[in-house]
Amino acid sequence: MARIIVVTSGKGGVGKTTTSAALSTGLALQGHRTVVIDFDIGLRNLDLVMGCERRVVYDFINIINGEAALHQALIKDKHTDNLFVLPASQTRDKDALTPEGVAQVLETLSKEFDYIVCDSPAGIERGALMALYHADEAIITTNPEVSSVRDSDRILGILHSKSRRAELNLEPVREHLLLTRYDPTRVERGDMLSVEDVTDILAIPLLGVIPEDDTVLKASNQGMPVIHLEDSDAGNAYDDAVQRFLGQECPMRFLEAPRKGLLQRIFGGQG
Amino acid sequence: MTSTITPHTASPCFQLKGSMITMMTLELYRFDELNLHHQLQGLVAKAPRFFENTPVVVGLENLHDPEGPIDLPRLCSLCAGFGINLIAIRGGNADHRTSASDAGLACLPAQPASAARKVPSATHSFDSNPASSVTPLKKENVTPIHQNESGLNNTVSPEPSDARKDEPAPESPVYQTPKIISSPIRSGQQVFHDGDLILTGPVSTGAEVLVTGNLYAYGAFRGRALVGVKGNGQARIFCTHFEAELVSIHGHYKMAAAMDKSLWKQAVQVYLQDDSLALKQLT
Repeated sequence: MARIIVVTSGKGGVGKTTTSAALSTGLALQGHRTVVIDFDIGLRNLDLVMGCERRVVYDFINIINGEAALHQALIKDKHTDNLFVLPASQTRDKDALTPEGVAQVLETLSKEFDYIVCDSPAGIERGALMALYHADEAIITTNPEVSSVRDSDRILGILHSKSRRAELNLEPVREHLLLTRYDPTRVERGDMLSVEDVTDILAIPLLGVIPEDDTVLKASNQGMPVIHLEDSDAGNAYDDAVQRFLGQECPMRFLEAPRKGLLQRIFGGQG
Repeated sequence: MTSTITPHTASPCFQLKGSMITMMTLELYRFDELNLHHQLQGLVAKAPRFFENTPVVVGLENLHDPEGPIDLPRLCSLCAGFGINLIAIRGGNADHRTSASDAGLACLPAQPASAARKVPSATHSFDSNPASSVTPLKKENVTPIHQNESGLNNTVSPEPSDARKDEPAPESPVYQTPKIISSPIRSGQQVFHDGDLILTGPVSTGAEVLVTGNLYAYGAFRGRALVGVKGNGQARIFCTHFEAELVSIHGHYKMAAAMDKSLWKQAVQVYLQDDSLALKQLT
């Protein structure tokens, strides 16, 4: 049986899709058979970030409606073995996601894969609810700013009340906080919430801190999950997060602002 | 008060020891449930933490009517409603002892008259009940206790189930176990409980907690706290880490913006005083 992981946040634009791509790639690189599903029906993005947009023939909704077989829609990732992508439909909306259909697809995938990563859409409506309903683990992707934290808190409440595990009174969904777009320099200036501020409010274990990094955007535009880039801080931080997710001890990195060198301090003026 | 039995067998697992423990005694003069409730309520209101986790013995030596029946299970539940843990009776007749064992109380022998006289008369007094005519010294149904020497150094263990009921609605003197929620209450969640509620996890901004009784919050409280929602003006809010967006007792409310900033993140209690909300730091 696969572990079902939902990557969710409530708020949009915080890095759910980037995280889904990096996490699923990281898991696959560790040798786990992994499939990543785009639940953002109507706003198909994951295939772009994964670099497989030209190979989408059938999608998630086609399978739910019985218009295609699962293996026809699954796209094998070209960078990584063991990794498959199930893209969203761009021509439908989220009402096309039926609880029975989603359950059936996940059940079938469960038999073949070790991990199923569900890339949730923003919001707390049908698409997000469908993505989190079957989850065993939840990666709460949060930016260090108040509205993102508030929305993450809201989605945690929904996980507690509306997930399958909550409804059936099973062991609760395991929650992990992933802080993305973290900028230690701005935190030190007091412009941005610190790791402590966010963990204090959300009160869930910290899986990782991904620093703000230009390579993320570049990697997304190239259709290459950022975790593949060896000289990228964000990629390394995702790598660490995957290790921690798999139970490895791994110190947190990128929490401190880079120190200025001596010459910079002398000649750097007020900067 | 206790005897010493010390078995000396080969490698004993335990040792019985007699030890002197200073204990609060509730000297009962007469069992008048309504007055008793009233006076206990007054006492607990003055000193809410007075009885916390403190075992109490009921002294029956000074009953006005030593042979009159006393419903000890009833007394137990009445006291429990105020967080008073009765553990034994002292003295009393055979009927009292039977009633005590029904209530699960131990029976201690009566205190000799000489010792009983040492009761400090100034411990406490209530004005609610006029003197009974029998003994002019004993004005009340209950005198709360002689606390000898270091009697009241409560070693408070934070046992949630022991949480006392501060001031229950007068019509419900029966002890109700407070509900305990230990998971965090998240933004957008609404929790309602009829009775007292203990929260050990945090309450986030945007969450709403409604209770008919008292609210005890041990995690950071950042949401909205509404107590006494079915019309109990006696209900209170206790927070160890107070950052509430809004507090309300019996419909009287206050927003965070109107609160004294020095209370922020402090241990705070909120109660209703002369129809206005009082926020006080708990020290």
